[in-house]
Amino acid sequence: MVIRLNISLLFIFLAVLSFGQNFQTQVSSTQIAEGDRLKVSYALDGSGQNFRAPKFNGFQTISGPNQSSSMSWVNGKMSSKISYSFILVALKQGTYTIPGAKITVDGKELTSNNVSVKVVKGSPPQTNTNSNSNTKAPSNEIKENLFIKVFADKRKAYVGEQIIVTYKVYTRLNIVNNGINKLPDFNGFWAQDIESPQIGRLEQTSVNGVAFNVATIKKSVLIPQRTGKLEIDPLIMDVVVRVRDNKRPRSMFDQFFGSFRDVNFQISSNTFGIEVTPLPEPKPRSYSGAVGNFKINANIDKDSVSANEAINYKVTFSGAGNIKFIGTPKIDFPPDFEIYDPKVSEKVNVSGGGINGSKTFEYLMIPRHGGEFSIPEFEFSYFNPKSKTYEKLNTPNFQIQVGKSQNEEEATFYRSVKQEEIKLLGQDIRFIKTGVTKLVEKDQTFFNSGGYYAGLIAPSLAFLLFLFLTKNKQLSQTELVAGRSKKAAKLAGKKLNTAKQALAAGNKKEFYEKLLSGLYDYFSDKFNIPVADLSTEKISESIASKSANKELVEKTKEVLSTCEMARFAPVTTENESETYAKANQLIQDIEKAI
Amino acid sequence: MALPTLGQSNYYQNTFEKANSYYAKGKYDSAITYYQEIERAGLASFELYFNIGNTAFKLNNLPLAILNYERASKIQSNDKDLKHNLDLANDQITDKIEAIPKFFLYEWISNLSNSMKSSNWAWLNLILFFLFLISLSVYLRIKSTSLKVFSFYGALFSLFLVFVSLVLGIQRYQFETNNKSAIVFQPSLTVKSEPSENSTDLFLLHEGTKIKILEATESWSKISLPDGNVGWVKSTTFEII
Repeated sequence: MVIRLNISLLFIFLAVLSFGQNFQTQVSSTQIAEGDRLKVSYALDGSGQNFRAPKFNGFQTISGPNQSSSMSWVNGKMSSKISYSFILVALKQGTYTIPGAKITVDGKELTSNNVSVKVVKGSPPQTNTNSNSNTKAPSNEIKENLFIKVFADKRKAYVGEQIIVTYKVYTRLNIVNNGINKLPDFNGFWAQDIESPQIGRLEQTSVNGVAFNVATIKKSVLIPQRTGKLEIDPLIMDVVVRVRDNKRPRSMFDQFFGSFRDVNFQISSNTFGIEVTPLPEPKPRSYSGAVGNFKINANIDKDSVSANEAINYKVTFSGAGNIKFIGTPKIDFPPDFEIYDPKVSEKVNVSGGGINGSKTFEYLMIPRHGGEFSIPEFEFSYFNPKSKTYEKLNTPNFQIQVGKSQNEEEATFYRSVKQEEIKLLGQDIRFIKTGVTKLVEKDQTFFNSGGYYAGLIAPSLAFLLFLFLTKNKQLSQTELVAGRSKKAAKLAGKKLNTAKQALAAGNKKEFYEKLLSGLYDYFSDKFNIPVADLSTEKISESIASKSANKELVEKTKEVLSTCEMARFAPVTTENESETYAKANQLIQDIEKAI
Repeated sequence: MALPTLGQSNYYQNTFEKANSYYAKGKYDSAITYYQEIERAGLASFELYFNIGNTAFKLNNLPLAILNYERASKIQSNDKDLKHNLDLANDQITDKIEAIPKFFLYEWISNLSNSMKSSNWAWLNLILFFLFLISLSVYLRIKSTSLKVFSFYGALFSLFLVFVSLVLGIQRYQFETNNKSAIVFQPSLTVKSEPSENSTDLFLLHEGTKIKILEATESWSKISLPDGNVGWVKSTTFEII
């Protein structure tokens, strides 16, 4: 009994340590059964004099005040504690107040707090003798002395802001065995457990004046992924507790140490909601979801290379926050560079303070052609939940000098094998039209205008005028034909005369030729027939069409055939003078008839 | 031809060049002010409309850009830059209307008709008519047989060309002068079944879409789309090309 008491006193001192500089009343239990013992202790940090205990109504004091004191050195600082404890027995059921005690510290009087204790009817003695059975436990008593509490470092957070959640088991019971039945799902959160040596270690603390053993069982970093009220669901634990049996002791041994049995019990943590608010608008254009406090660092391993030589470009984000959510930065690399997917490496440390670390993107770039290139600056922005603003960081601009490929042969080989298509980098409208523009009034066209109609009418009129003028000229030409026809006989007479002269000269052949050509010319003029078209038939037709006299046609045929025959065959049936007279006669007859 | 006087013409040419230099510097607001000053003076040219279209495009005013590109195409349809820019602007508007494909011969004729301004067609028509008259005169008044045959066919052929150029010219002239096409300027426009606010909603159009005006009452217009849909909209919601 004494040993146990001392142990519990030690617990109380430790509890007081965590409570700070005050004078506290602590009870072993706030609910006891009629006839049960209650331990009341008054603990003070430091030292005091003149302790005055109160009167305990409804209880009988069986021991105390038992004074104990302790001293401890923490970080070279000495602190002392003093405690006065009483063992009371509850007499009657009802609710009682354990009043505070008084003590004088440095001439000042301190009064400790009041604690309310409920005394219930004593549980009936149990007939079951099996002390190890899992019979129904006095669950109310266990519930009060064994529970899980959840702590969150904040109840309101922005999307992406980290929240640290701690699950702690509080117990005043003897835990034989325990195991986690169900871990919380953390729906709507990205969660990561914090590994810490603190996990599972027992500590002492007091809750409403009652001393408890506390162990942290789980500590997690939560990063909300959506907005709204997100519920944290409970953690459920199966525990086997050893409770003191209330039944009558069976033996001396039991009477001395008390009898115990093991009880299975399930405890579950409280649930609570976290209000997740969206990030404020407007977001910067470069914002990609980082929340926390970050730094950016970029560097290249060389700034002067020859073509086809690799360059490393490294961008490192470091700091505290949702570093795992930083996406691949969008960097405008020179289009002529061959860029490989970045190698991403993370060094993330999850500790009590949350997530911090660094994320590195390592790009391998191979310039394929010589020239001067630049990697433009890249803007990174993140949301700082402390200052509630977006902060922007910039990487520097890197200039890279790319010389011609060192291995010329390889370069030419490369060029000859792989011809590149022109890369389309973007699309835009074509540039404006510059220079002189011919501005005219709107809705003005030549078509359907007066000018156009004038252009149609004027040449038409000119054409008609031309037709009219040339018609007169053609008329005079017909007169000419008529004149020719009238003069035909006169001209023929002259020709016939030359034929007569040829006959007088004794040239018969010439005479016929002249005679014939004279006659042809005559007909040509007379009937307006081209010389080339002249023939006996044609002449006969012309005469027939113009005169009814058949004899005339016959005569013409006879004269013409005589002349033609005489031209090719000099032997003639008639003499030349006769032919000449006939021809003359013919012309005269035709002139008369037509 | 009512050309602006020489001084005026110089003044507006200078304004045009000033606007061009603002455009080149990226000061699109200033550029469009100067361009529109020329337009307000009642003057127009292919280059002016093209440049206004470009500036409106840069200012993100797609309906205005498309309107001016369409106006430019009325003056000169076969410009490659214009086609490129108009296609690009049309790619960015909300409505994608599939036109019913036309008979290839019709397409071919309309392409031919649009290859020249109507004024040029008119000049060509006059020249061909003159050639026809000359050929006819030669045929009627020259005695030489070979020349007669040649001029006869010449006259027939040129008469044929006179009619072809006249038909194509008239088509082009109607394209230039008809006020039947328009561009929607209202960001979102509900097309109604009747000229009344209470009538059934037929379909939704967005800014930048080209529509055809079929008829118009005081404040409502009956429109049709290239895909054949017909409906009524308020006349203030679009701008005639």
